[in-house]
Amino acid sequence: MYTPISKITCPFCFETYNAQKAKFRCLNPRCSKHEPDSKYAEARGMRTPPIMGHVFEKTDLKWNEVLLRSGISARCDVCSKETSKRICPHCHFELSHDAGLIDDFIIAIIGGRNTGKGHYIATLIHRLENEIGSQFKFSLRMLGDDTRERFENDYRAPLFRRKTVIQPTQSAVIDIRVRQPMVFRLTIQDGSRLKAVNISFFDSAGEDMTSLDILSTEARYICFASGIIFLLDPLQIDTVRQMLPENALPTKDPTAEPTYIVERLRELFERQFHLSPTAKIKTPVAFVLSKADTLLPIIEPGTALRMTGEHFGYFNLADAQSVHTETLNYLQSWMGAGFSNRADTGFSKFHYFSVSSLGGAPTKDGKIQTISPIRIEDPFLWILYQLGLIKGKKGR
Amino acid sequence: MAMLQHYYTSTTRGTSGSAGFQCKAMSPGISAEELNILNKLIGYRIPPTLMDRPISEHPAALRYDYWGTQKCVLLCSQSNGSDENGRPGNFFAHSVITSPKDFEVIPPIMFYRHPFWRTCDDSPRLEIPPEPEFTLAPSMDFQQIWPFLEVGERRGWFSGLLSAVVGYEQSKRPVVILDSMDNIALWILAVTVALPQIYRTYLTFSTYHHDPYQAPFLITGTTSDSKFRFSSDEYISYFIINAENNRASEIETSDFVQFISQNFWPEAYENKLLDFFQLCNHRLPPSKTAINAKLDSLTHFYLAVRERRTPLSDIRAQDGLHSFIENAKSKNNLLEEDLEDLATTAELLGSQVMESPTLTIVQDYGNALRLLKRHHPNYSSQARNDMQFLANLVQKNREDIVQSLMAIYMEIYQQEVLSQVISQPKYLDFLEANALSGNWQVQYLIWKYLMPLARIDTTTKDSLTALLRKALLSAADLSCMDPDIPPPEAEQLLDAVLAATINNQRFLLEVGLEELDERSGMAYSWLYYKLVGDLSLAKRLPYRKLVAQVFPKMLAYEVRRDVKRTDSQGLLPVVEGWVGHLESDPAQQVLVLSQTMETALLMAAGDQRYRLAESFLTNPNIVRCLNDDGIAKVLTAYFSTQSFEVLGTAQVKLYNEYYNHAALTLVQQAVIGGSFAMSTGRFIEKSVPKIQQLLSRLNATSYQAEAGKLIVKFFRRGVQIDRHMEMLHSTYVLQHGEIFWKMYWQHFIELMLDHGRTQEFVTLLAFWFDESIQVFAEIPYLAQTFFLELPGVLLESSKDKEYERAANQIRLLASKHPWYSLVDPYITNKSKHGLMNIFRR
Repeated sequence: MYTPISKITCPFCFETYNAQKAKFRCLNPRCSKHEPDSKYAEARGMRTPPIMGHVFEKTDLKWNEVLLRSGISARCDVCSKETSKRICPHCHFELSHDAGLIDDFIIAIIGGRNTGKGHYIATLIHRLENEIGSQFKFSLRMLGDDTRERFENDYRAPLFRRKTVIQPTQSAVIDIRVRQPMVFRLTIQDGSRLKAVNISFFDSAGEDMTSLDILSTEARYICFASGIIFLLDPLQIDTVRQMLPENALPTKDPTAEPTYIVERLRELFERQFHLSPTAKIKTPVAFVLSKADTLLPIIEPGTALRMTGEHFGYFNLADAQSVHTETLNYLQSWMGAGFSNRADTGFSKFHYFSVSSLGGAPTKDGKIQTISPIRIEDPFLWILYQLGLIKGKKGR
Repeated sequence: MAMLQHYYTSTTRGTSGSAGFQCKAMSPGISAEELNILNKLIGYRIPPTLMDRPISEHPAALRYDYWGTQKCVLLCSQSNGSDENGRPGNFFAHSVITSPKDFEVIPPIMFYRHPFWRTCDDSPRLEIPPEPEFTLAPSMDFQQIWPFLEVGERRGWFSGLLSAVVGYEQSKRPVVILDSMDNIALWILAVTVALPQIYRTYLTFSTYHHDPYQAPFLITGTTSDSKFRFSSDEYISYFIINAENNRASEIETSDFVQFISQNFWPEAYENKLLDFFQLCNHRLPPSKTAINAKLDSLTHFYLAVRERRTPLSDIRAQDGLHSFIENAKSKNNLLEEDLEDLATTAELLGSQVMESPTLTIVQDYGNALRLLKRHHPNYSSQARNDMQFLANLVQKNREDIVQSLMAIYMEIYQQEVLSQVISQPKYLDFLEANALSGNWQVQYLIWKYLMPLARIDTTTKDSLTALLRKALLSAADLSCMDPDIPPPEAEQLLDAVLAATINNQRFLLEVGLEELDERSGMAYSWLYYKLVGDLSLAKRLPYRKLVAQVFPKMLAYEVRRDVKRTDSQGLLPVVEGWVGHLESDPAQQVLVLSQTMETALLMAAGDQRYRLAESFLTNPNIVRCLNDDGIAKVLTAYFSTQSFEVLGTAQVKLYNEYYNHAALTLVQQAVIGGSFAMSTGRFIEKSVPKIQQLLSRLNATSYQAEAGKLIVKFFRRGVQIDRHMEMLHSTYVLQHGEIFWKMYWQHFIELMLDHGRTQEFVTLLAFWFDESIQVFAEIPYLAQTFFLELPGVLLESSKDKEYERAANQIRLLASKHPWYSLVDPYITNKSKHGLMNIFRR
């Protein structure tokens, strides 16, 4: 239920404020007060404020508007046209129309360069919209034109229509869009009632993981995330590289080293929230070994990592535990205990997963024959489970 | 500054030491802040619909950004295939940071698709050596724009595009162009060369950007599959050319844009626009502020001054010239070209001052002249022309304009120079010949603003006299209530004449007065009195002497004007002053003062006039100076009342003195007689018939009032029969007999009943019985009426309670009179037919 004291955390600048403090932007093209929006420009590092619709506050929120939940629209104080476009009072980011009405969760997808974050998001959303949605009786839809346009152009079209690999995500330093989330509405059937939440996915450029400074300026969303999916590229692990044929390996990139990234992640939280060195980060973190299909030649034939996940309307805790244990074992055997030790000491809720977004390596020219994801939904479902949005069971 | 370069791409051999998007190499000297800005300019994403197309079909994003007077950046971001991991979407951004001066001749857009722009750098180098400057031959041909603009709607869109660019500072509407990539470059080239070079530097652009919302450029080219939505409201908040949908935003075009659009053809561009742009480069300040207004202003200037196409009646042309003058004022040195423009500007403004003068135009004209004077040492030679100009301008009858211009000329030229010009007889004659005599305002302007500078000497006297004569005629032509008093407009004109000749008043007194006709003579009198009116009478003498021979009536006019400017309280001293002043010339004294009396008496009204006349009549010095006519005027004013009044002692004397004056009318004499009788109880000789005549002319009401005054007076205590008889003679009028007898019987009964006055009653009765028949023999029925009505009157009065006592007294005192027996029965009420008995006897 929306009330004036409901809080909104802006998914762009992460300022938190009372819902009634949200401002409105007039969308009437004939409104006489189109004006340069310097606050919008400042928050995005733009030198020239763009001309945008008039920004105004709704000052006369009446009690019946509170009760009838009609305070989410207002009449422009210049042209009197009604608008429901609410924006953050601090950065003028366009809020989802029901921000403050329902819960918002931020999922940050992070990882080194070329770990497959883009492909992971694309196939995850595709799976959630289809098979997983059926199993869990939930639906997922995109909120807002920005999300629709971005997901369609940058993720779905290249991967599922053109069957090509996705372009690398550019650094937020170069492309401001990376700092903006893709917002999805997840509607879950919980018994006889429906529960709706907004899930904001933040993709990130691997380049932005290579520096704590860039992380803290361009990827602050990580600190405000409800869950983090941390992708690790097994093809950057020296032991793995030694076991696989050379022609299957990408260029070695020392900065994509997962140990360093997890260290920066820890430092980022310490810096943002002034954590003591012994305090653990409470945000659930899924450490995900990506490109699991490339590991098939070097992992045991009967391992759970080869199988598809089996959740059937609940999060299968036993299955997840198997994957966690096996992935951890493989990581420790390939990387030593350094990485897992850092996870143990730095995070209170974490879990290991192995996934493959595509199910096979693309061709040399970047074409994809078939898309057969493996366990792609496991980390996301685990985070939903951690957030209490779905139930978990130990076995069928 | 040196030319610095920067490469950015996804590589494994860049400056970060790792793989990924990064700076591949750069020149030393690029600061962190500049890198930060550069990072926001270089972003590139392949349009989604071109992902599967060859790289050669991917758009090249040539981008230009202005970083201040010292630095700008020109960069080209181009797709260059896949990264080292085989992922598509890699790009190479090649940036050049250099001085904007490097693009003064060849604008940055002309390096679109230039082979200089790199798409890869396989070398291991991380540093690019700086170069002195950016000097390349352009890759675009300027002439391409002409055929390009001829297709479809492009000419109209071009005007809109130019309007959007020059109006951006005010509108803040960025430009988004959706067209083929090469066409976008041509659009940018066309609008670039439609701007003067000083403003091209501010025209930031990107031939392609995947996200125009984030692009910080004035013009951004994009593709239909970009993030930009091309929604209806964006057609308002942006200026959009959408060639794919054959649609463009609406925008208001400026005059500059219209001018450029009209001349944006190869020949006109060479012959006209380049000249105009040169003018812009020279005249306009290198600043982004209010570009639109500045260009409009210079366009108006160009069209008005260089092309003489826009008349100065157009306010925009006036603004253009104003801006030019203001700009020129701030410069210490002007080029020959500027001075030529300045001279033309002054000429045009001068024409406009003549045509339709406004204060702003005059101010600009003045400023243009000041500038010409400042930059032309010999500009004084223009004084003759300018004063001739002013001579023409006064005909326009605009004082504010003439005043302003005169102030300007006084400032530009020495007063002596102007005086020389104005004092030329030719100049004066021109003024005289062209100044319409019926237009007092023109005369006023001439005398107020030009003539103060004219020298009055033998060479100018004739011309000035002619001018003065015309001024007097103009003043005389004005309608006035009183010919002695100039109307306000004439006052204004004559004041100007006086002020102009303040140092040479003799000119006014010796001017050819003999040639003045009656009308202008009247106006000259006004002028003369302005000259002397405030002087004492003694000091006026020399002035009067100079004009007296031609204007013998000037003395009388002077006295009249003195009288007319004085209130009624001060009139007597004024007249007395003149009596004294003219003592030495008794003839003039009598003539002038007698003529003045009427004027003086008219200055007072009602009782004040009466008192004034009385003060004249009682002043022997004044009376002595009045001829019969003069006296008559005073007497007429003094005896203007038509009713009998009670007089004071002095008045009784005056009434008595002037009763027989020949100037008095019968009525006045009758009033004098009546008033005298009323006041003294006696009648002036021969006044009785005049009074009777006056009363006989009155209506019943007036008769009752005036006759009643005399009847009352002559029934008062101590009735004397001879005067009572005169009263009866004067007041009895047959046609008002009923009124007369009513009043008479009333007082008769009062007398009878007054026990202290019984003897007077008996004496009066004796008169009636003994003498009246004889005395009033010629007055029809006076005595008869008395006797016929007496019994009734006595009978009526017997009802009074005092009657019995009065009757006894009458009987006692009157019984010895022979006539008493006739009235006794009526007094004692014993006979009903007493009067019949009287006649029977």
